[in-house]
Amino acid sequence: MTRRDTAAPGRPLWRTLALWMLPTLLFLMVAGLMLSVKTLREVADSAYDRSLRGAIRAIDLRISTESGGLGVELPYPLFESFQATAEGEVLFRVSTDDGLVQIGDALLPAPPPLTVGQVVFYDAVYFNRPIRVGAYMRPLDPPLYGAEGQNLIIEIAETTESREAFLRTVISRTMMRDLAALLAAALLLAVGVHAGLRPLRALRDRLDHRASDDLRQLDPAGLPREVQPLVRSVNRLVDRHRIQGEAQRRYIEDASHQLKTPLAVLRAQIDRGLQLEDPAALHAVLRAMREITDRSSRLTSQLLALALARNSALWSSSAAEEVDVSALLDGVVRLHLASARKRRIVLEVEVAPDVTTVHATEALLFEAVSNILQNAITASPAKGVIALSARRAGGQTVIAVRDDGPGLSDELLRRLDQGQRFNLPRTRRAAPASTGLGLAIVQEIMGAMGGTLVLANRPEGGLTASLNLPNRHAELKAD
Amino acid sequence: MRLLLVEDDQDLADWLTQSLIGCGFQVDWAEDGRSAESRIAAEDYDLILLDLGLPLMTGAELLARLKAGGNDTPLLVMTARDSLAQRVALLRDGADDFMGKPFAIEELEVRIHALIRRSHGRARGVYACGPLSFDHAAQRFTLLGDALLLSPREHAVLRLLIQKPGDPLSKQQIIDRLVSMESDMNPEAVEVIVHRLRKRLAHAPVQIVTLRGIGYLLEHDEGTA
Repeated sequence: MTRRDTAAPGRPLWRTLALWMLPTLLFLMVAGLMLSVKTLREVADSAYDRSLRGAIRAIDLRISTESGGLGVELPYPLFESFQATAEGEVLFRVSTDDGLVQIGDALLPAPPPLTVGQVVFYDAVYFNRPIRVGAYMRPLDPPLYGAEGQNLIIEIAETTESREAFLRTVISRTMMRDLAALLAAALLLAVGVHAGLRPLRALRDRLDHRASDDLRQLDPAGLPREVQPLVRSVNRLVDRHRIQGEAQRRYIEDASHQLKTPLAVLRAQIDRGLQLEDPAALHAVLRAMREITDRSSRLTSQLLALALARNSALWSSSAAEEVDVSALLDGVVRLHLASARKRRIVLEVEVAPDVTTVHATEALLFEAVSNILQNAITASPAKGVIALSARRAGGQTVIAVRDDGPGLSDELLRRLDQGQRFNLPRTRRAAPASTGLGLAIVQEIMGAMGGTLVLANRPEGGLTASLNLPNRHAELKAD
Repeated sequence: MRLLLVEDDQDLADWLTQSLIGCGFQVDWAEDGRSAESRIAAEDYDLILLDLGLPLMTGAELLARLKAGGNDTPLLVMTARDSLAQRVALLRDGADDFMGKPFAIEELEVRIHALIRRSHGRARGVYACGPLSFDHAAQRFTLLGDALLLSPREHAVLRLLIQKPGDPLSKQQIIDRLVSMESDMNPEAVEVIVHRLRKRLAHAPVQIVTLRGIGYLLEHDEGTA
């Protein structure tokens, strides 16, 4: 719970969506706008140019060379109406291509190279004002003053303010429309996300208002289909916590019982000791107390190991790695060699050549193997042989510890099979080294690693304890 | 013999000191890692008894600093945290022995004596396993007081075994360690050498035990044979 407070929140959903959508929309709009500007300009040009072409025709018809020179009768009415529609200034020039004669605005910029019989339109600048010019060239027949191959050029220009103004109006309207659409999209997005997330907020409120020990399942009804898997995951998590919590509670109850018993015994022994006057009797009580202390200390460390095994099982699935089986068995054997050799027990290791590594949490596996070897050493007669072996068998790696001790009674095997643990040998005074927790630890560890502990008496006497490990346990058992 | 007890729990230190004095040791007590370090620097101890959970400097830190500083006073670690993995790690980090709390004072006494004997022997270059001893300076084995005459190969293998008492050596480890002197050493040759060594030790309470899959172990038969 505290993690949520410290972790930086991720990007809000609406912003993620907006970051995906808006740039694309914006790009499409700009591209569309550029395209429409180009089209509009072409349309406007062709419309305006048509009237220029008309004016050129009108002038052309009114050119005469009968006087020997070049004469133009300006079509004033036409010019007037033309000027009125163009809302600007109209300029003209009639000239010959050798530049001998010029009528009209001599300062119009020179035309580009022209083709005979074709009207050409182009943009130019006239006294810092943008103008649109239409130019037309035709042979002059007959030519003036006996010149040969003389061409006549008619140019008509108008200032372009009006067509620019027209374009600006149309473009700004288009832009306004696009921007409005964009804003509407953003607004819809925000509203949609807000509305879409409402069930999630309701879910959050339901969770927040729960009591801390309320581990009931969440009801996924009424939640959007996309959210249902999340709810189911939360439910599984809650369930796992509930089961773990119960196991923990049972464990603590059992553990405190186990720990209090030897304390009670010690207390009784001390009280008895204080009553005694005879030093020899007192000595006997002290020796008995020492035995109880030893037993409770073994018990404590095994309870601790069991708690650690459970804890690791719950939290450290990530610690699993490829563990070298030979090295692990060697390490375990070296750890217990001294205690085994005290009773001249021979330890042997046999690792099949096809066994290299197992996927496991090394510390836990070490603990498990160590526990069953410890049991075997305790059970083994002096000068007995204990064999550790590892082999592959049908998708599993089997690590086995074989001793020639007395084995386990059928009763005990049955109870172990049924998963009973913990309270096994509470009353077994014969084996003071046993707390009965060793196998519980091994079972716990095997459970965590997805493996099993199999105990079997050997027909020739003694016990084989096998750890069957899946070659690769994908995940901790979730439920 | 002088011991330094590094332990922060006053009750435990008190009772332990009394017991150890009762066993005939001279005991100094340091309460935390730093004062332990300065005492070790100032005085000469035969053995250090080290608790791991110490204030100011943890036992593991002190252990690391002592080993890094080349201190070879034998070190026996006492700890309540006795997970096996940790025990293995401690021995690897240079602790000479390890006892989980609580422990029996008799066993502590035995282990202290063994460690001190081993360290004194090592200081003089003498390794021993029961009645068999090896003088490193003279390169000579003595069995039951008499010189033990061995071939160079037998000598080399037995030397390896006696230098690591209680620690089995595999054939491969033996070959690896002898490779500088013997180029044609192979597992069969090691078996032959061990066989011959066994014959030479036959009538002494010292034997080479074969632990299949693990290695050879030189061992003293303390009257059990």
